[in-house]
This record gives sequence, structure tokens and C-alpha cells, in this order.
Amino acid sequence: MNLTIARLAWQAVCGRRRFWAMLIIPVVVVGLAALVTAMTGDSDTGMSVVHTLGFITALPLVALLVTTSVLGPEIDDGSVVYLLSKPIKREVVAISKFLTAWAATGLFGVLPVALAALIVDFSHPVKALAFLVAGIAVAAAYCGLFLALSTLTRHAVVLGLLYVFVWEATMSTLLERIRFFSVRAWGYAILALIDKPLSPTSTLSVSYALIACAVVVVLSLFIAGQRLRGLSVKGEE
Amino acid sequence: MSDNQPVATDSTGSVLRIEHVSRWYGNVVAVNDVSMTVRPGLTGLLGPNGSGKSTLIAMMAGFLAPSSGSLTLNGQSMWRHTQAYRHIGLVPERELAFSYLTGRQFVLASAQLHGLASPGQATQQALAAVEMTEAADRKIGGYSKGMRQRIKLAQALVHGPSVLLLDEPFNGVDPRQRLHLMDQLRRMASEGRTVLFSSHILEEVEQIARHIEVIVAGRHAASGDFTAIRRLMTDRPNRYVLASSDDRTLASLLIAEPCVQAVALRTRHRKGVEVEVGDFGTFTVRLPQVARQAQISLLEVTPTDESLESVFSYLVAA
Repeated sequence: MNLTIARLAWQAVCGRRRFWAMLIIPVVVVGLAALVTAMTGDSDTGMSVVHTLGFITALPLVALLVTTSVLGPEIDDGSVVYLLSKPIKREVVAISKFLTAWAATGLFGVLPVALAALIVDFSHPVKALAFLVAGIAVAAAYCGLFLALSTLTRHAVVLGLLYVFVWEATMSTLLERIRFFSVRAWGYAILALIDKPLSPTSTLSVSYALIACAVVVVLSLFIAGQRLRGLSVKGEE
Repeated sequence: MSDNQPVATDSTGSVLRIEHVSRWYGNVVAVNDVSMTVRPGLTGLLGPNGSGKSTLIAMMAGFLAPSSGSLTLNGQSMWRHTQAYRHIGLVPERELAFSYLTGRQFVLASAQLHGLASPGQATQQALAAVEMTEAADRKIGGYSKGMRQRIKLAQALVHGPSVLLLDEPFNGVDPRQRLHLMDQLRRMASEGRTVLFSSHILEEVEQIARHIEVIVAGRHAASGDFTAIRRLMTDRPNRYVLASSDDRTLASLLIAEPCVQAVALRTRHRKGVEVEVGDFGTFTVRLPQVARQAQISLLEVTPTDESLESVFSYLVAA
């Protein structure tokens, strides 16, 4: 981990226009969950908002926005050359960017979901804890995945959206085996371990989910590091 | 430390060796079998736009693998050699995109990434060296083109590299700052550093570099002392179109002049005389004399191939 690269990555997250989109998302999640609970007086309805809007929609969206902010634009416009023309191992660059993206996703994606769960059902803080733990695990997997995508293609945002909203949301309902390759399904397994009612239909083992998250992170960092090592940047001629 | 002192220290005497380097993209050859050695001192890499200068500098900086041949810095290959950046300062032509950082933050980050013992002090010195101290705390997004160029140079200078590679460093820099930057490069070269900068402007190179390498259409066209190459450029055959009060008589008089190689009368619709001159200096003296003696009025004297590209084309053919 290189603190300077992490700081620059953090400034890239906070300094771009999409930062405001990232800020709106958690506000909407917390606000809507509180509003629905207040209007219906039913914590289950509020919790389904936290689950649907927060855990499976907002969290991956924030991870995608954050992670593609920390590396993708620099590669696209070639300004990554200013970062890579330093005596820093490219793997360290990838790891530092990943950790920053993970931390930012935790702040803007995971914490608001856990906070919303606490607001909705203050009497059962274990639900908030479940969203917090599962959120941290899936945030790592999403960030790793999207970081690798950023180094592989200019269309990381589009592919990321396709993964989250087509592969995970649609395909996994049609083909059950897809859950083995779905970050969301891994998150369900962790949710179920801590609080079974939050994910009663999850059939994946939590050990598989944790190992899968770890494998995705390690593999993604390896790919990102290798891609940065072999990155060609030529002039504007 | 004053502005005129080195921004930091590093081993000097680095040599960049480029041997039979080619780089192609599919069927397009960007750099074609280029060999040169860049030694300590100031070297100008001269060539028209699109001639392959930036591609060559990208390969020298280790950001592009050559399709064939080798590039080494002090005997070590540059490709995938991140530790070499301890000795290299790079100013790419690529625009700065860190608009959300201040100039100081950008240069400081560079100093920290180089692992300098006193990054704050090195940053201050680098900013002073490019006269950006006052504007250092403004966001890069609000900088003029010239200020961005200077901040790019500051981040390249901050660790006092023994090799400085600059791709079109004077683009967008105002004349006063240009002179200042030229002084900086001269000073760094005089300290024994290897400084290479590219430009497509002949006069720009002429002002600071005695040694130049000329690249045309991806090929290494010329190498050596600027004066000798400039003479070669000036002594090449020049073409002019002359318009006068009596084109036919002027043409017959000029063909008798030894300094003139060929004369052609233009067609009825495009009046004038086309002249190919072998000795430019003598021609500029003889033309008005010949015209005066024959009482011919010269209405127009227009060089037809003064573009840098035509000069380079001549060098390639020579």
C-alpha cells in the first residue's frame, strides 16, 4: 500500500463530478428506508427497501462509480503516465487503488445500508450488523472486479452495469447455478449466516462465499497489476 | 536554496542507447529502424508533427515496447523497469488531467512517490525552478496551457533526475517563460545530465541545442551538430516563383546564372517564372542585380517549399 497513491485516488473519487451522484445514493437509501418505515409503521417493509434499494442496488452502484473513478479515467486519457513514471511497483499501484476504492465504497455504500437497517429496526441491531459484514465482503469483491475491468477495457462502467443488473439481477433468477458466480449471492450467504430471516432462500455456504470473495479480490489485483505493468502509453501524435 | 541551484542531486552521466528500434501498429510503421545514442548534455529531437518523436520518447521512457530493436539506459532495458524512473524525469506531451489537484499537491505527490527524504522542500525547489511558486496553490484545472507545462516540468525535475525526457515542452509557453525554461534545460545539461527534448520548430531547437537528432516519417534522417545540419538545410536546392514586368527575359537571364539550376515559364493563366536555386546565398545577391541591369521590375518573389516538411524531406533524400 502506498499512501500517496491512496491519497491521490481518494482525491480522484472526491474531485470528480460523479462524487455528487455517489453522495446522493446513500442519502436516498437512508431517507427512503426511514420514510417508508415511518409511513407504513412496518419494519419489514422498511427492511425490504434497505435490502432491495440499498444492498443489491446502491451498494454495487457505488462500488462501480468509486472504482472506475480511481483508475479508469487516468488510463483512458493517458494521464496515468504521470503516476507510472515513478519507481513504484505496478502491483502496489493496483493494491493502493483497490484499498481506497474499498474504503470509499464502505463509507458511501456499506455504512448507509447498515445505518438504514438500524433506523428501520432499531430493536434488532443484528440486522444492521449483518448488512455491515456482508456489505464489507461484497464491496471488496465488487471493487476488485471493477478495478480489473478498468484496466482491461474502456467500457468498464457499461460492463459493470451489465454484470450487476443483467447477470446478477436477471440471469441469476433464470439459472440457479449462476449464484456460484454472483457477488450478490455470496452476500446473501453472509447475510443468512448472521441473520437468517434477511436471506431465507440462500443455499450457498458462507465459507464458499468468503473464499469466492477472496479469490475474486486476489485474481483481480493480479490482473490489474499485470495490466499496469504492460500498459503502453504513446504520445498524442 | 536559490532558483538557480539544482533542485536535487542524482548520479549524472547516463547514456540512452537506441539500437535498430522499430515500432509498428498493425500495418502502420511509426518508428522505423532508428539507432541513436543520447549522451549527457542537451539533445534536440527535431521532426515534423506525426514523425514518430512522441512514440520514440514513449519507448525511451519505458511506456512502449519496441516491436524490434532495443532501448537501454546505462545498459538496462527500459521496458518494464520501474526502478529506472529513479533516474528519469518525464514530461509527456499528454495533457495534465489532475484538474482537482493544486499544482503543489501534484508536484508534492511526485516527490513522495520518488521516496525523497524531504518531499516538501524538493517540491518548493522544483516549483521555484519553473517560477510556479505563486500559482502553486491554485487548482490545475484553472491553469493556462503554459502553467500546466511548467507544472509538468516541475514534477519531472523534483527528484533531480540524471535523464530528462521532454516531449514538446515549450508548447503553449509564453516567450518569456520559454526563455526561462530554456535556461533551466541548459543549466541541467551543463550539470552533466542527459536532457532530450522534442520539437517540430527548427528555431526553437536552434536556440538551445547544439546536438540534434532529426526524425522524419519514423526514420532517423540526420544526427549531429545543429550548425552542420542547418547548413545542409540551407544549402539544399530552393524553389521560388518570381513575378516580374518581363518574365520571358528574366527567365533567359537567370538560366545563365551559375547559381540557378532550372528555370521554367509558368503557363498563360499562371504568370511568373519558376526557379530552382542551387546556391541560395549567391541567388539572393544576383537576382536584384540581374533585374536592375535588364530594367525589369520584380513584382513578387515567393519561396514555394519553405515548409519544415520539405526541409526534412530533403534531408531524408540526401
